[in-house]
Amino acid sequence: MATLDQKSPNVLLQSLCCRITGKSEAEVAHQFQYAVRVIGSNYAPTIERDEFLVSEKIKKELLKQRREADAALFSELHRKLQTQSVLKHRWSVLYLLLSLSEDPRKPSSRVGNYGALFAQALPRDAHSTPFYCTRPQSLALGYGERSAGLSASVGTSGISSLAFSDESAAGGGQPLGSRLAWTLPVSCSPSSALALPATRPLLGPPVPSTRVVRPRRDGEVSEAALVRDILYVFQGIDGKFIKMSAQDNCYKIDSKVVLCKSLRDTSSRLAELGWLHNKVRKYTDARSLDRAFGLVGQSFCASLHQELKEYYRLLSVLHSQLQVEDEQGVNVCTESSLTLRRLLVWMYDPKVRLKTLAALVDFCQGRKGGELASAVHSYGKTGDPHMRALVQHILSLVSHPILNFLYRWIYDGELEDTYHEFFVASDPNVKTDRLWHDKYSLRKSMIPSFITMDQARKVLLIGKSINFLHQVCHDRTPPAKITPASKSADTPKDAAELLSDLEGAFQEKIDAAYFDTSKYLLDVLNRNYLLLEHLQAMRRYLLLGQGDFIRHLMDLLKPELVRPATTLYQHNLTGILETAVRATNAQFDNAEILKRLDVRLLEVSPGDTGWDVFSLDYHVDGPIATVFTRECMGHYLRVFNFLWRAKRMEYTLTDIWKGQMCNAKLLKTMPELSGVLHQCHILASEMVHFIHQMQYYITFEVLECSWDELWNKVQQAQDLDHIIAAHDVFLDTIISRCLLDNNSRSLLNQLRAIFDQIIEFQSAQDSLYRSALEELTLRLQYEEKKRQREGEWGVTAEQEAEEKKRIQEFKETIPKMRSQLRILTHFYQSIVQQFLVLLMTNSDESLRFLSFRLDFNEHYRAREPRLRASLGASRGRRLSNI
Amino acid sequence: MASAANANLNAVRETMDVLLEISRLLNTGLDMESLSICVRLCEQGINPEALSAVIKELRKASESLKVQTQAPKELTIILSKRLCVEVV
Repeated sequence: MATLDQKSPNVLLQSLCCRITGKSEAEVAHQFQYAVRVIGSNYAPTIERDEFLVSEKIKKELLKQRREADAALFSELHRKLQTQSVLKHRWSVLYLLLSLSEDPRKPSSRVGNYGALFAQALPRDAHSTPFYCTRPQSLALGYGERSAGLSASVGTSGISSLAFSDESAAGGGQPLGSRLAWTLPVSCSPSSALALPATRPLLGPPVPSTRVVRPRRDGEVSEAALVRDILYVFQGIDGKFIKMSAQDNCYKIDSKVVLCKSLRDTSSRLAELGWLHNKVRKYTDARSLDRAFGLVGQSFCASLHQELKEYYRLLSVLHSQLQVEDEQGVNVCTESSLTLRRLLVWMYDPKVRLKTLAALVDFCQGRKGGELASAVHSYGKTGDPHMRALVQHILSLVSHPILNFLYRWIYDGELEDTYHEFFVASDPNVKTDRLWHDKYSLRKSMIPSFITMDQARKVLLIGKSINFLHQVCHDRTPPAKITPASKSADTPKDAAELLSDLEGAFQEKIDAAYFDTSKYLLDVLNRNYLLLEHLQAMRRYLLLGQGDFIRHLMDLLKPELVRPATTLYQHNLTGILETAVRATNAQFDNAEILKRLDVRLLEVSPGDTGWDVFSLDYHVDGPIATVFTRECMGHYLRVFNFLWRAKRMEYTLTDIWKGQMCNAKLLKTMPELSGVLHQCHILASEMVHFIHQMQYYITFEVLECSWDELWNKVQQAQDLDHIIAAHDVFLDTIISRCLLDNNSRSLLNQLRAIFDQIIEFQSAQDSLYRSALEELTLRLQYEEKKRQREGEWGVTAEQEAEEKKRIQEFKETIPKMRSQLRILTHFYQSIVQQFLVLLMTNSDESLRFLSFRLDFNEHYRAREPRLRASLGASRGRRLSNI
Repeated sequence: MASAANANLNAVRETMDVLLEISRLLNTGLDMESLSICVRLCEQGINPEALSAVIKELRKASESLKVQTQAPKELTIILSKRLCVEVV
């Protein structure tokens, strides 16, 4: 018994060789060399150094062999071994014993095998001299179809299997490639060789079953040939037997070919891959030629290309496998080779991937830009994690250009989109004055589905603001100052990250840019262009807010405007305007504002007096014109017209009242006039009441309320669009409430008629007073004359007669006056009644309340039966009932 | 000292016995001599996988040698066939 002394391994190895082969040292030189080489190369074990595992394995082996008692015995021995601490590498010894163990039930599978004898160099890598192994089939033993021979040859590759697996494990990058390399030799395990050939269909590589070579029919295509064909078909090239049939759009096997049904089916299933590949390939080829496909489309094609490249790599591994087999012998051992079944299993994953790609290609036909991104995104909504991962990857590549566009747009305001893929469109024909409203719009079809409409609108607004600042406000601050620079999507990886967090990071980015840019824009507008001041100025001048100025203006203008319109000159009126400005509080206004105030004469129609053509005007230009567009200014002028007219009525009535107050005392001496005067007074006070209520309505309920709303909104506005919208709403409300819109045309006509009546009344009253006063003066003169002649006989008889006649004549004109007044009154009242009826049936509540206020003491209701319906009842009824 | 050496020797002997027993159980076909050589090799750190491969190969070689001496005729046939394959 040798002691465990330190003899060199080589010596030990040699003695082992001698021992096992039973030969002398000289004869085993060859084997010794070989042994040394093997040991030297495989220095590191590939299994785990776990003694427990090994012992478990041993026990399992024993149990498998139904030797439970032996298993128990082994456990005993193992325990004993563990108590002794002689061995340092117990696991190593145990493993060695395990691998050398043999199942005593297994018959020794030794048919003469010569392979090891002739095995020269072990294949270190795939390109070295291939491993020659004579297959026992070549033995003239008549064993051509006996599985025994096969398994024997398989046994020789025991070492090569280890070697092969070693190198492939070292070099295997491709998951599938290395899997291939692993699976091939695994199947070559020593099997129960002399088992009778069973006609079982082969299930797949892990099953070390016997391969059946069926008796072949004449002229039948071998499976190997089919496999070769299939590999061509995978790339879309027609094979010898499997060709593309155009009318069915599928790969068909030539019907002339003699083929068993299972092979036919399997190859049809495999040919589907070729079809899918063709589809994807056709798409990428067609698109790469298309110049106008755009960046998004190109990145889509690039990602498809990437996937196809992976696929081709797999195919090349299969090809190389086929080549290796070719070189290994003509009658190749089919257990370790490619079969259709093996292909089916291996190509399952690629098939799923290609299917996804082909579906994507189908779905994305004819789309480009943001549409394409939306299509890809919608395909990512699937439960299958592999498909989802694939589509996400493609989506990140595809959306990268879109995100690039987006970042450039929101940080620089630049849009370089030659192929119209981005969802912001710019119209090059629009000039700078309409930049805000018309130049940039959303291309709705190009909005990717992972960007919401709200975000898209914000994006549009941000870029628009930047451009607005640059071009209209002439503000050249670099965008870096407006928004603190943040990293744009430089790589597709960034895009992928962003896409995975659309709610959070992306939204934040957009919001931040939006707030900063809009705030800056509003700052610039308010500071440099005094937007809010102009808004207030509009209110003060065009909407008659500055009362003292308007009053004074009217005072000054009155003598001018009474004249016919054709005689008016603008510069005269402008002069008057300036006088008015200087004389009132308006002079303390900002010079900018006063500069823009002006007089405008409207178009003259025949018979117009100055009152009809006069209007104030306010010039706007530059950035302010974006808020106060031409339509807005038109609206303002209409409202001014209306308000000016109402103001004029008020002014007229004031005059009338003044006249009445002055002349009432004077004309007390003429009792015959008292009736007429009374009528005048009554009518005048009716009119005064009416106009008062109208003025109240206009000023407080319409103008002040709307203005308050507008002002609040403007103060809280976050961007220019808000301001513009609020302003438009303001104008619309005013116009509809001032009865200037289309629905209230009848009301407006009534109102105009009332105003006309007032003016007529004024002229009637004027003429009345004139004649009355004339009469008065004449009478006074007469009295004067009478008193002057003191001592004389006063007036002569004929003078008296004359006087009496004159007085009589005068008295006769009184009824005429009275009737005239009565007609006037009646007419006026009927118009007012109609107006009230229209008001009552109006849908606007404030107008209904106006009617209530106008007729507070039911003065008109008494006369007009239609007004008797109460407000409450009319709410239920509609216009049709009246 | 001697007793220690003796004890050591005994322990070694016992270990070897146990290992022989295990080897017999597993039907490895190793005799005592080969087993001791193998144990020594393993203790020196040789990869057991490689070693077992070598042993298997050696066995096969020895058997084939035996067969070879028995059937030289087949060998020539095989050789010629192999050469043909090589050419192809």
